[in-house]
Amino acid sequence: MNAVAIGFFVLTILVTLGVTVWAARRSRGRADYYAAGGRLTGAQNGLAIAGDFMSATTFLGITGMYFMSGVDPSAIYYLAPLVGLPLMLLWVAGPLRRAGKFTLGDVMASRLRSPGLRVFAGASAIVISTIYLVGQLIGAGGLIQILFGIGFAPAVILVGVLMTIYVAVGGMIAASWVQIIKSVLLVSTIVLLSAAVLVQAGGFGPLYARAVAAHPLGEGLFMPGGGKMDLFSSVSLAFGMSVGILGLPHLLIRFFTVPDERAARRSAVVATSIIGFVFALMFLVLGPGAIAFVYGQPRFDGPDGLLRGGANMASIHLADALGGNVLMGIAAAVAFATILAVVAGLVMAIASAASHDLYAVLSRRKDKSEHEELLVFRLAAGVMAVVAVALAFAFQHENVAFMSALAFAVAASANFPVLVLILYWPRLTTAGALTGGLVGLISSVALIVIGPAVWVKLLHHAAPIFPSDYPGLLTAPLALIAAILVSLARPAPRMVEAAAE
Amino acid sequence: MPKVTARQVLISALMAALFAPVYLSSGSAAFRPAWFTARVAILPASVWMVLILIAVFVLMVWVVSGGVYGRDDDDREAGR
Repeated sequence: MNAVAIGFFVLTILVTLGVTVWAARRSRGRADYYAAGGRLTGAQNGLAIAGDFMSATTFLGITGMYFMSGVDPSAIYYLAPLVGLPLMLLWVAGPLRRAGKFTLGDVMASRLRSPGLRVFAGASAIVISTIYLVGQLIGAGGLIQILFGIGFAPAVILVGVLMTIYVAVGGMIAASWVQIIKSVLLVSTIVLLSAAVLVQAGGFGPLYARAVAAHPLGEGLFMPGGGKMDLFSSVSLAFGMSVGILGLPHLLIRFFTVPDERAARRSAVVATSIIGFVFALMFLVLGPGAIAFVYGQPRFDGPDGLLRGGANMASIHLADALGGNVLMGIAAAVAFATILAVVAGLVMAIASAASHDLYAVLSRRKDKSEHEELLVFRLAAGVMAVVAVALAFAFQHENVAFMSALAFAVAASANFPVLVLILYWPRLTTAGALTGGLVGLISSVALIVIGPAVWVKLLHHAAPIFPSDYPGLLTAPLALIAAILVSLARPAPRMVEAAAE
Repeated sequence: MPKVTARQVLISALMAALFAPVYLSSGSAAFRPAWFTARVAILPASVWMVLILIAVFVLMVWVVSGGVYGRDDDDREAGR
């Protein structure tokens, strides 16, 4: 086992726990626990949003995808945030900050004062974040197993315990600062690795020539068309990945941590800039670098002749090839910090939805205090951590990429259409919003179930009923149309008056 | 409630157009029109990446510098 990696691993845990204790001392009430008191600057929140998006799947998975098949289809994963975040800046960031306080339920309640809609907002936030969280935990268990030699079960339990402590003790202040620290570490590490690749290869030209010589695809590495997907699937995957960002609760609630709309917009710009810079380095330097320095090198292959630990380990092996144990230890520890920060953000979204949206509506007592709601928040963080760890054990052999695709598809189909209509369309009714959300949720899950990934690969049927794994291009417009039609067919009395005015 | 502005719609359409070559070219070659393969897909993806990054940053700077929402609204919001 790599002593440097273990040293950084322990240091990461100590620093993040220290941040949590510091955050707990600064947290007083709901505003601090749910939204960091609204005191983060645009730059700080931008770093946190970038950190939320750049999960271990991004750092290790996309470079691994490039390592296997070149620019395509990894280009879609690289470019999705460059579409989604500017759209978030244009359409959502400012109005969301203006309308909301702590959760998406607040935003929906600001327009349509319906307990049912708040329950839907809370439930969809919990469902989407839990699916995403379970996928991250399964990936985390596997990665920690490979990086540090710890078994899957203890690795997942360790991550589960740490994420509960961050959120239950330090709330959004801790979750945000852990994310900010991780973002700075991740960006620094990727810059360091990229510089090492370019120096050792002798520049871009020699790097690309070396990659072309090492990979069986040759110059095809850099050309589009290798995705092997039909046109609908590639466009639908891109659409779902892009607008799914606008429906992910753990990203959206970050806009409540800044003081005003201007800072919310700045957050989106800073996040897009950081992600664009990091992804460009991964796309233009690290991906080709992994091929040039790792592909076909016997010392990185396992007994089966394939890359040790799978393609996801290409970045870690690249660090080893460039800087030996020290650089590899740093890269492994940063991957671990990345995992911790992302799961903490997801638990934050789940716990705040459970206590501020669900408990607030479903509990019939009217004299609920702020202290009681925060107690439910902490309990929800602990309970959901246990549930997520249990689900990670149950689904540990499932495809992690499928679970992420499911979370993005549900976010794009159930949350995104309702959120946009709530922010921009005055004639939306409660019935319309609920219908749209439910149509998006049910249709996206149903089409994924009868698609190739589940219907054929998991359930072993001969052919899929729906030909694609990526239904977002169909289901998001379907939800939007359903919400509009129901709102027009059954306008609420107040809406009729407002429209007449 | 904020109103949808022509500039918001225009920039969103520009974004879609900007990214379309990458999305369309990611599918199997059998599904691409011949003109697309001949005129667009010949560019290496890294060139698209750099072009898109530059365009996205220009658009974002325009948006936050008052090009879409206007300085007055932002300044009023910030209490200036």
